[in-house]
Amino acid sequence: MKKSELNSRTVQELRVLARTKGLTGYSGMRKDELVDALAAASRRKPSANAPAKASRNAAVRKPRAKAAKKAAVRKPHAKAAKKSRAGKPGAKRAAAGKSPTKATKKTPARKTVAKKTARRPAAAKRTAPARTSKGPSAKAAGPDIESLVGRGLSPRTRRAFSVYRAMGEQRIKASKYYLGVQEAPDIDGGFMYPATHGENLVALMVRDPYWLFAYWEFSPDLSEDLTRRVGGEALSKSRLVLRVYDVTGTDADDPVSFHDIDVAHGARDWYINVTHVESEYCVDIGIILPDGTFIVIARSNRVALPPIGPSAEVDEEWVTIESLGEVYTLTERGPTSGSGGWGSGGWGQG
Amino acid sequence: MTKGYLSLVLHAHLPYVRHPEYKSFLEEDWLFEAITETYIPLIQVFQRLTDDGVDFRMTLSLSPPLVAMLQDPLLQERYVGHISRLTDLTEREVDRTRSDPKLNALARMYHSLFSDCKRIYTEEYGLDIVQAFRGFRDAGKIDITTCGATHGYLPLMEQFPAAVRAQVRLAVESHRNALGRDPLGIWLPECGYFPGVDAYLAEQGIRYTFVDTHGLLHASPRPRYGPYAPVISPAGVAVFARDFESSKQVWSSKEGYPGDQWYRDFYKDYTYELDPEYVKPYLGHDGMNKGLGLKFYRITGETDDKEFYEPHVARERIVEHAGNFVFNRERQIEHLHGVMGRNPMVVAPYDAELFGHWWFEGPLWLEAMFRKLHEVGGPVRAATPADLLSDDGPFQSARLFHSSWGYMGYSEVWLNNTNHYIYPHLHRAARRMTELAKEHPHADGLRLRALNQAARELLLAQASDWAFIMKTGTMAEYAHKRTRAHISRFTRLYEDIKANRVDDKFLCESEWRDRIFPELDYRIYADDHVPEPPGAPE
Repeated sequence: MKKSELNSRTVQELRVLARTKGLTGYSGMRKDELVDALAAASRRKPSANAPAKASRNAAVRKPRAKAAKKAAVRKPHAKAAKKSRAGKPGAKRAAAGKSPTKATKKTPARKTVAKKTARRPAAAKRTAPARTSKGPSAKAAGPDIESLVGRGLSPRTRRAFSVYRAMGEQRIKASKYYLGVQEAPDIDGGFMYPATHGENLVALMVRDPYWLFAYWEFSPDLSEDLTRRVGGEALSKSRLVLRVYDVTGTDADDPVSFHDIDVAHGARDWYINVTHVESEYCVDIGIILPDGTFIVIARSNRVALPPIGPSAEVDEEWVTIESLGEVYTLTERGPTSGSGGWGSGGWGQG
Repeated sequence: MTKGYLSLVLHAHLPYVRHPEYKSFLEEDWLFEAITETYIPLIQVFQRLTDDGVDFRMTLSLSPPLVAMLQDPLLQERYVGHISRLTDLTEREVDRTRSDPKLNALARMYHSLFSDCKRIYTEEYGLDIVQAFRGFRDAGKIDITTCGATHGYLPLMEQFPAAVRAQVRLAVESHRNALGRDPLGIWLPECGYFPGVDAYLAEQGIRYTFVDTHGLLHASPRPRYGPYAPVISPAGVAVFARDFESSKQVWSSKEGYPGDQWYRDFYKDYTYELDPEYVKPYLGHDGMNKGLGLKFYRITGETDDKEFYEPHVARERIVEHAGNFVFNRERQIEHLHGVMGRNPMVVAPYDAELFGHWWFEGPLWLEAMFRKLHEVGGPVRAATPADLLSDDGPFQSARLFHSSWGYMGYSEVWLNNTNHYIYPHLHRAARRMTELAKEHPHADGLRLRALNQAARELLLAQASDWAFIMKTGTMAEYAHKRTRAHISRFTRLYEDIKANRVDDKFLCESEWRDRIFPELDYRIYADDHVPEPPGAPE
């Protein structure tokens, strides 16, 4: 790089350049010193000046893990009887580590929630992506994600930053609703949300990798039904409970494990701190009688938690797709779009 | 020699706010301020770049509620009133501040800004600025994507296939109606992705979408190129991920460009220094004393004592920041190219309203950035995701999981103590809408109108903006009331349809107030099956 060009850069930018060129001791240099050092560096032969990035890349490539078995794997468990079994106490709220045997490619069959209707939309004319062996050679070492995303930052900085960034970002995102004053004239006619709509139900939602949210409703006849079933006295001494099932690779009738959360009688929703990350869950809302019997009032949908980090599965699959170039023509896109610019010249270099 | 691509994405969205029942309504100002400070300045930037033959490419996401509002005659008329008042006020200000050079310069700056806005809005585009964006798309400068029909946050309606389907399908249909072409891409509201949402996108012919960085980093199998290449989801949709570094340079309120002390301060408004009687005729909202956007001050620093804004100094900072951004992208892309062995695509998505509204200098920075990029002709080339997909591959395929670009990366912003109460109501309404649609496959007359209107009320209640605002606090009261209002009207329509006694007067009033998507067909809610991806594996 020419000195004149270097001089037009700021000190910060020169430091970045110095780092990429593998120079040392640059953080204490003044601007003129940086310029001299960089100008000298660009005059030297490449071999004497190997950029730091190459060595970092080679060093951190992890050995490829063998992809785990494709079939859904069931974790060993004891049969969960509904009667007197004491499930894991609700006190165990901390998220445990990653489960060792995890179903990989095959996701367990989900119970379809909705009935299939007679009218289906016309099948999309698109062809499915076609598997191809044309991906980069498996033997060639791909870049490590750290080197792609963590350039120049320590893991702690990056983690701290991503949370910090998002907070500043949220305030900026909120600014489009900011008007400096508040006013909210009557637009809702004083409508009161009803507490119930006639049926018992409980729903489960994913909030993030560590938290679920459940809400439930009871039918107005519930109290009567339960009294008839178990007797007024037993009912008055029973506990309202959320039974949380780990149903990874299985279902609530045969769960991997479960635990109970006592909820206040008036509560209608609850945040659940999961016991196992990256697992699948569902919940029952019910009561536990004095003798320990669990009576289900309603069962929720099932949900799958998102992963907490990069996947252990590294066997890549490559596909070709119906290119967008076939979908719209050059004339529609206008004269400035380059014709061959995106094809093999740009993307396809191996 | 091109070594990589910079893919700028601006996501333009505001929730549907239209109150014909009032002569003027405070929250309609969200739209008017965004038109004045963001959308028209962006149009001006695109026009200048085009006129000067500067090569630029970027993606613009236009949400259906925003497009609907921009094309609504009542809101157009109100905007003309709004910008006219501002033009008049600043004209008087220019005159009044003749003896004070600093103030006068600022008054002139704003007068010029507002009169340009008015002229472009009324004369150049005949009140419909959507056509401006359409024009730049047709000229090959920008790609336009759609976004959820009412910006519903899809991961939290995952259990209701009909509701998800409706959000996607109506988005595609309304985009087609307003812009004359089916969208190839969609901006998922808040980048809210859940496993299987891609099948809904593919069903409507969508070819690409976006997620936050970790959405791709955590995909399975692990993406070889991290967020610097798209992956193909199980349903065949290409998914692009946000780049961390370019994001920080703009979004960070402490370290990003917008926080520079020479840039305009967002909060301090000169209107409050003026005599209230003098300002009153220009206020519009029954004389409520509100800042009119005469932001005459610069950030200055961590102090309430703000200095006056100096445009020429800000201009220098803009050029420097633009140069810095290009420089950093060049270093980044050179590094990535070396590591990847192929051209990376650096995806840089931002809320459009960040440019111009929060960050006043944003649009000019964007212009300077594209000019710089064009001028250096270096390793970075501006491109769009659609450009990359005009190649047929090969691309890596992978499964993605729940993620969003909101605070903490998942659904916490829309599901917390301030707003979780809404979901039982939203879910029940979604369930009931499907129930109604299935019970009445061939409605007509009054019942048909009622069913369509019920769908509208559900859609409007689902706007993720309400939950977001409930969480972030400004205007929370309005968000609570909007949710309640739509659930209330939906419930009334539901009960009336079930009891076979639709009230014409109530229906007319609802239609008059909430008139988004005139072409909507309630029957989309009858389809509640979970879509299969084309060629789904065993």
